[in-house]
Amino acid sequence: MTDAVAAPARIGIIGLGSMGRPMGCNLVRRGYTVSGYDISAAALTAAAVDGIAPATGPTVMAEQCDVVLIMVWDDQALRNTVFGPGGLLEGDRIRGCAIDLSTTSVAVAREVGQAIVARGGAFLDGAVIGGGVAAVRAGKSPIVLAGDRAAYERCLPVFAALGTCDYVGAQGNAKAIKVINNFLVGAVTAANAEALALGSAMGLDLAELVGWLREGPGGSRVLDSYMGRYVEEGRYGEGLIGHRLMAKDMQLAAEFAESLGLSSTFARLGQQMYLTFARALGGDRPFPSALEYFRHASDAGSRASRETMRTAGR
Amino acid sequence: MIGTGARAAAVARLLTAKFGPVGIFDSSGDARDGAATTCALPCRSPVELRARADVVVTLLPDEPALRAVLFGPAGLTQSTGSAPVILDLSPMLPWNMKDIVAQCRQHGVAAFGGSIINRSDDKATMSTLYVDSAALKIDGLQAVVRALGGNVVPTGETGNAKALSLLTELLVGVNCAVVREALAMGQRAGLDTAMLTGLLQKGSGATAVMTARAEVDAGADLCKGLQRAAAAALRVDHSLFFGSAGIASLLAQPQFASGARGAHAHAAERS
Repeated sequence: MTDAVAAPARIGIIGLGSMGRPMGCNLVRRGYTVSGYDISAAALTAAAVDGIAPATGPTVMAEQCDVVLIMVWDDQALRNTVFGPGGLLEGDRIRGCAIDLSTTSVAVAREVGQAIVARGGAFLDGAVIGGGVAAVRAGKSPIVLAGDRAAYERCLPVFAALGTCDYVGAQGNAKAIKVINNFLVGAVTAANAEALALGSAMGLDLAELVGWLREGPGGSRVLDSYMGRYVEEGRYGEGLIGHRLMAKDMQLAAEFAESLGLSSTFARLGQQMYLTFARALGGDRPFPSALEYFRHASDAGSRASRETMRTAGR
Repeated sequence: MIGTGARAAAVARLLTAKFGPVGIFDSSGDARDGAATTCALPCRSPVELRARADVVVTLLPDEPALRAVLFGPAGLTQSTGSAPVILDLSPMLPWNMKDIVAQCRQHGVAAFGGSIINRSDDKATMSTLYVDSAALKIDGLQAVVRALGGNVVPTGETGNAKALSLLTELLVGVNCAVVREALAMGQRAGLDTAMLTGLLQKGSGATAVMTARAEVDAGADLCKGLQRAAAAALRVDHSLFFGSAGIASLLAQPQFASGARGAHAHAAERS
């Protein structure tokens, strides 16, 4: 970290998917020199159109970039990025600060962080905790970062291009918050899906129902955004993860709770629910489509209910 | 006012503040004893109350209790003369409310359904009141609804307000439980709970139960709400995961009830 810069200028992004690519775009617009890497050649080509220069792999980025943002799929992908052939640790040195923004486990984030620091690099574990792709594009993502405070301060100008940033303390904390946040999002979404579907089965109009529930203590951002958008536009949002990944996130939360000696009742139940939705609707369907699972499941019941409600009180 | 317990007492206080002393009946006698403290006028029967009131608000533990005061001996519908308008705030399934409204109509009594949610017994207003839209077209009743304060949400057809009540309780119950599980993880991981709550409220997992806006009573009430949701689901042949009767029982357990209360209390302190 001898030449870790006071004002980072060269940024690398590993993982040019629905989050990584628009982040890169925003950084290019702010005048940073941005290089990118993805295991998908198509993603690399697409990102090049936005001014993100294709890199040959993480090793080179570690050697040349002041900041390397990592936005990969899961624990295994993060391990490969860091420890694998052509990984961050394979080169002679780590020039600057690596920041993992992937949805990965606290344990792996800590392991990766320790390895990078041991090689002279700086490491921050981070997470985007809301807003989805729309917020990423707008450069307004709520982001939490944890770990080396000095590195955090140095990287703040970079994050100004990406959203609002909160420092949350020791390494691993950001990942813990991400795991907890995603657990809440998944569980609250599933609860909303079944409540809305139940209301619909009872004969209530879905759009009105969403509006009424928003007014009360059952309200949530899930209801406002995903479900609200669905009844207004027929879609839940953009770049949302599918049921399979949400099941993984629920599993991460369950394992995290269990590693702390806590009950994981709702995280495990949520995991089972999303696995069920994945089987029924497809693993890549956006996770708020849990609503459709419950609505389909109760179609017959709904017809019966409408008849019951119609005739009740005659 | 016909009702029992703290909720009914809170409603009686609000009505008294707006309209002066209100007639009150409670078959248990508790509310009549307590009525003096709220300047209410205790009545010996629903019939006596009927003679005194233009509008009767009912807030009873369940549907059978409501049926008893409406259709039982000396019930509200069991006498002649000018009939008051009834606003029922008791928890029940929407179909039962529809049935009761129709039965009242046969007796020449106009009845409407509503649900107080998000209540706070020690404050002067109720936060959210779901109410059948038709109730707001009746002058006297409109004034009563407004007197209850808070956010009045007209919910269309008869019965819908009861449906909203159980759906809200389903959401609040599950949200409280998952918030409790989430905050427990954070706490055990060494995260500052105030910081965590603040950050979660910025994210996609934000819920009203983590803010002071949602003053919910976890535990027994939520459990009953979830049980009503489970009963409604059974009635319409709808499958539930989170809202299942099993989860309702789980939420009744002390650690979930106190955890949800704790989550809310903490968030309220922050605000």
